[in-house]
Amino acid sequence: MKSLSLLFLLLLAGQAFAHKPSDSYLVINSNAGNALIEGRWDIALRDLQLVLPLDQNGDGAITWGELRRQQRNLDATVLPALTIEALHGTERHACALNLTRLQAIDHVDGTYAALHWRGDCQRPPEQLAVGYSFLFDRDPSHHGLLRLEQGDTTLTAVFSNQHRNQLMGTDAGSQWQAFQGFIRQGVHHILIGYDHILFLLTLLFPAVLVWQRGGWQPAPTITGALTQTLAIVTAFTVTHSLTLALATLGIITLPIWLVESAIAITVALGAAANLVPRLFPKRWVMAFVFGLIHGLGFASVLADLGLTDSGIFLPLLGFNLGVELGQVAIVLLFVPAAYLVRDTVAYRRIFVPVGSIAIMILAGVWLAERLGGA
Amino acid sequence: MYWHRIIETSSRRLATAGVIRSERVPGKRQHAIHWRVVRTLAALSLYMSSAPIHAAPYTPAGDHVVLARLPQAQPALAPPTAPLDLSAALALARSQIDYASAQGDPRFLGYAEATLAPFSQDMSSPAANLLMARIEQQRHQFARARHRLTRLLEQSPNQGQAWLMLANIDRVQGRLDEARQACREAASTLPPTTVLLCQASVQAITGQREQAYRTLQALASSPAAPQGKSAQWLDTLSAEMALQQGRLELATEHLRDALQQAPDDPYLRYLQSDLWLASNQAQAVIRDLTNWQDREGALLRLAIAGQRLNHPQAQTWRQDYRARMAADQDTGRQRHLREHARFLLEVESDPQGALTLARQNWQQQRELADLRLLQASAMAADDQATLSQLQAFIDRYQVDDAQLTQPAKGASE
Repeated sequence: MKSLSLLFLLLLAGQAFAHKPSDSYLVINSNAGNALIEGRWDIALRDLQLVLPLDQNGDGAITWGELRRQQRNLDATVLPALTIEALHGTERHACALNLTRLQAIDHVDGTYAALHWRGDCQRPPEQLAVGYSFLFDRDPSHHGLLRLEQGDTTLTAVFSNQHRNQLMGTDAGSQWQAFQGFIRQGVHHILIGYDHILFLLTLLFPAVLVWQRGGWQPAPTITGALTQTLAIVTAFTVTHSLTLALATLGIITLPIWLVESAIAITVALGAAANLVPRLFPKRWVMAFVFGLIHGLGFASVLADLGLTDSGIFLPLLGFNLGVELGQVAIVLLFVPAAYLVRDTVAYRRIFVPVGSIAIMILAGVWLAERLGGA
Repeated sequence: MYWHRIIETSSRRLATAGVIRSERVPGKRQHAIHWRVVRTLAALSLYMSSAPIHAAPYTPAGDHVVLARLPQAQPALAPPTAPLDLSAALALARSQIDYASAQGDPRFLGYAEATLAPFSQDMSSPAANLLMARIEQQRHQFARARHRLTRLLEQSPNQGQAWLMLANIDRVQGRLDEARQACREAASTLPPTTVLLCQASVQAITGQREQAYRTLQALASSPAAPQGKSAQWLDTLSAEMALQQGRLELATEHLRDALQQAPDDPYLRYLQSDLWLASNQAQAVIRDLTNWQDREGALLRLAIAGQRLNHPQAQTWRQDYRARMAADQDTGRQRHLREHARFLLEVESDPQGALTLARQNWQQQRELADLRLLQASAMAADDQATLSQLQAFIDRYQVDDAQLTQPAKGASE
């Protein structure tokens, strides 16, 4: 009985939410050199109810379905209460904001709607002029809490009825910071671009082995393993850097679906090479040739970061450096580990062939998806 | 937590770039493989995270999931359009303010402010400005409220209600001579019992407590005994004076009378809890306030009582209160200096932090509760300078309070 009442207490505690003044929480993520910004705006459902008829059935409860059905109105009537302008030198560009996703989030006084949005500012902002006019006509004591995240810097500000505009920005326009931003993006995209990683790993599987007498044998010395690794990585780097530059400069343009499908094929072929190594005697040549295709894939990501024609060299260099750093990190994690276990039957007889087959299948699925999606 | 967000944003980015197509074939096996790979790799990119996200957004399990319940009064007290007519606006604003203070829900003060906005720009409507002053007072914007009332009284000096509010603000802020004067000014337009209560509230802390207490009891048993709100006020004042005298049982009796008239009045319920805490009945506090956890005042007292009893909920209450204070500080609002200081002193065992807030609070509020709190914090933090400042205040107004600790009384001796 005692435990029952305790349980009841705990349930009550979970239900109870504080009464606090009305606040919304706004996060803006802006990366140096990037014309696209994104963020999230958390608005209390009680506050939203004042401007949108959320509680359609009038039962006093707001359900996820009722919130979801207002998604269009959120985009059309609530999001415009937030205006963001990018300041770039003497230019001023209004960033077009779009609701990208709707979720829920719990704050100290209950559940809020989490509005994920994205904004296109046309030019990478040096400063942001943020205007906020949500709810003040209904609740003049409403506050909007803004957190602007730019790389490692976080700035905060509070909007109120009296302070509806904030000019925010660090010296994010500085070249060095922009450059660092692109390095980070490069690292990020190699680590998150798993088809590139799988391709690289597939080529590296046998770097610690030699093909003899119709089977994989452990490489006798570490020098041999390192030479193979170095050859593969260098070849891959040289060619993907080349096509990344060419594509970013607009000298080569290929449809994304074609590039992505070709990348899937390279992964499949890389895996096939582990199974029938006689057909592909020189792995570095393979890295060299297929690197050309992967570079085009990186370029599509770089383009998506909202690069403009202003100063293409630094972003390109930074992004590429980032990609190489990420790649080196992967090699440093994988090769020593593989070298240590190269003697084991499990690695040579099971990991390499089974892993390669699995990768081939996965690459085949990607290929089907990418061709189908196009 | 943060890397979830990285994955989301990045995969969205990649999806638009055509790298990820998995969103088009939901539910298939390879999907899971994709995500596992992505997650593992994203974990590697953890080091790139800049600031932690405290709570992560989520997608509720289904359309039927209830995310929030609106206050029952919301449809009536937050109508889609504000009344254009003055008397309708005044009626609505009054209900909104009453609801806000009864429920401890400050949003309704904001709605009331919006309701009054068209009528409180100038002093043409004293009633609208009195209500605005009430809103400001409840938000502890004392200077603003005082300014408004002074302007109003310059224009219409026979606004007894405005004098009464001014007296109350002056009393709360420790300008006791001015408070007494304002009570006197109210005499020309307000009923004598109201003026008597106004005077008694000031006398209680200026060395005339016994006399004031006797006057109140005589009034209560006379044919002219006040009714309604004034009766409640009388009982509340009597309870506070008994507490001040150190007679907790007598205080409880008076409080019981007051609570009979207004069982859900937060001020009275919290006073009751403070009496229980003063007489080691923490269990009663928990019984009484458990259903009121959405109110900060109740949560504070639950945290104190829970800590004393080693209650299983104690940590939850403490964390919740902490979170609410942190949320308040993020907005730059400092609505609860007194309560926050008390929390630091009694729950967090942080006398230095408590003293800092209690001193800030003392700049705004100088009621007996504030005096007691500042003294307790200063003693816990061993701050003699603050103690002698307090003593100067006590000596000046001849404050006599059994709840103050003796050394402060004797400090100047």
